[in-house]
Amino acid sequence: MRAPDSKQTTPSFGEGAGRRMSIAELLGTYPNLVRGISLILFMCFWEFTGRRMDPIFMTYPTAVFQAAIGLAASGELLRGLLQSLGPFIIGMAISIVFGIALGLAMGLSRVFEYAVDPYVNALNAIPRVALVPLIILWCGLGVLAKVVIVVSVAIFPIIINTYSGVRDVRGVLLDVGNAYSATRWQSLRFIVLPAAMPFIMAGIRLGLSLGIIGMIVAEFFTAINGLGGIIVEYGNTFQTAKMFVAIFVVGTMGVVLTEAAMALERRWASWRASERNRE
Amino acid sequence: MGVETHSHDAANSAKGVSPQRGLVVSGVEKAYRTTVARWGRKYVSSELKVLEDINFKAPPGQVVSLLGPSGCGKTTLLRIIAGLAQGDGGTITLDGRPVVGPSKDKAVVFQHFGLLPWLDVISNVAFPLRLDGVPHDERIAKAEHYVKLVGLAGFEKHHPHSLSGGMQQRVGIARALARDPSLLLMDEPFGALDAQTREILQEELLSILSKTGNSVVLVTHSITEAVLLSNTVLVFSTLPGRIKHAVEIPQRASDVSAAAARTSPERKEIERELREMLREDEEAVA
Repeated sequence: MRAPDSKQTTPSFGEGAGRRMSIAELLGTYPNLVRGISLILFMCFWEFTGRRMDPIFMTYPTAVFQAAIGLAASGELLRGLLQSLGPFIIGMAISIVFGIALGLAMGLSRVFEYAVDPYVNALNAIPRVALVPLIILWCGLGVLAKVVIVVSVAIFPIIINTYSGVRDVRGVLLDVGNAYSATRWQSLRFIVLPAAMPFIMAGIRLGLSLGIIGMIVAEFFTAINGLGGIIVEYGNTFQTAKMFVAIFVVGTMGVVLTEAAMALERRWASWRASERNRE
Repeated sequence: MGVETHSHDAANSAKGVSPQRGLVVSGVEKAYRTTVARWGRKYVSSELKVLEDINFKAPPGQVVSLLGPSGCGKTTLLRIIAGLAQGDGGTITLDGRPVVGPSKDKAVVFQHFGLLPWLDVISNVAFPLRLDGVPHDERIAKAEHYVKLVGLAGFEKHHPHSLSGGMQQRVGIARALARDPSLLLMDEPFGALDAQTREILQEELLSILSKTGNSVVLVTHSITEAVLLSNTVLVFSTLPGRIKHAVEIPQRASDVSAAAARTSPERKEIERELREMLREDEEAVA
């Protein structure tokens, strides 16, 4: 029997000074170098053309930067961010808990699936923006309406992915649970749930990016506050640079949340990727 | 039914106090039925008999092989004994208690290993103990013992996908032994492995069994494997699966060296007989 492979952590650089890479090789080897150069060129182009355009239609990076400092200093940006995050976090928590529960129930019970899938499919097929006036009618213009709008978009990918994950569990794994006389609860906890975890995590990641859209849409149509409120307000008053600040913050929020979800996915669902690589 | 049973069985049940020790299978049958539903009623549209009047015993410490062509119902029989499928008739008892479903005194080794890919080797082996609610440290200690027994010391933290097929099946065997079951059910355990790995694992299984002393029911379609590993080989006919012959192997290979056993003329002769028994069936079909 061979010994466990010791992972080689310290790369050996070999003998000599090494060969200098050509520019083409450098660009192929360091993706962030290419991204950086691309961004710098784009910013220069934007700064150059933006300054020549009517400030009502277009702004430029240094003006956006100044506007950002102004909004941050006045506390308006932080207030907007917190106003947005509150309903968003509540909405996402509800979507994750109830989305996973509903998806599991649908995946485990055929009768429950048949009873519920008309509503899931119908609601999922309706563009949720079309429901916003109805939600406002029922829930008013406050936090509740925002939470409901976030849930209405974010919960569906979580339900559907959890359901597919449960259905995807290979029969042989369920046999293992049965053969070792796992109770129904144990087989859910130790086999079905971990086996479906990669799907569930992907569903949560999709739900997060849809939830941000829901959050902004809600802020456009209900009480105009939060980051969406800042966008609407400065858009209506032709303060384009300030509007861009809020847009960038929303974009950054999306990137950070998606990256965080992907980090969790790598941690809890890495076995699936490595299993696929092997095949 | 044309079953040649040697006097061995009688000797065993005559041992006295507990004649029912080990596995006793009597009169087991199974048919697969396809049903159609029409207006709230269910009709059987076709029926395929896969097992007919299966009778055999696996006394403690003995290995019984179910040998036959693919589709003869031997895996179905194993699943019925494991409690993963329902038989249509007959009774099965293990150590005198009727088998009605999965239980903790039986363990299954799966053809495609059936390891949980998100758990490392040690947690896979400890999985049955986790189901039993054994405290963490205790079950890890126990699992370590079996990981060592199957020769995987040093691989405790590896995940199944980073192991070869042979190593994965070692994990499968260690997991099956973890509860120290009285009966080990193996469904073509080495069928998915290459020839050399298969031979090595067969020999290691022999040495493991000589230490643990479980009874084993082994499904295989390899004549050599059946002869090498078993005390008794049950030869199945195909559709419906019946036991055509029960052949006793005079001395299980664990008692002699496995390498010598592979080439011994005595065993070659038994293998030749078995091959003929299996062929009768094919000729009848052709």
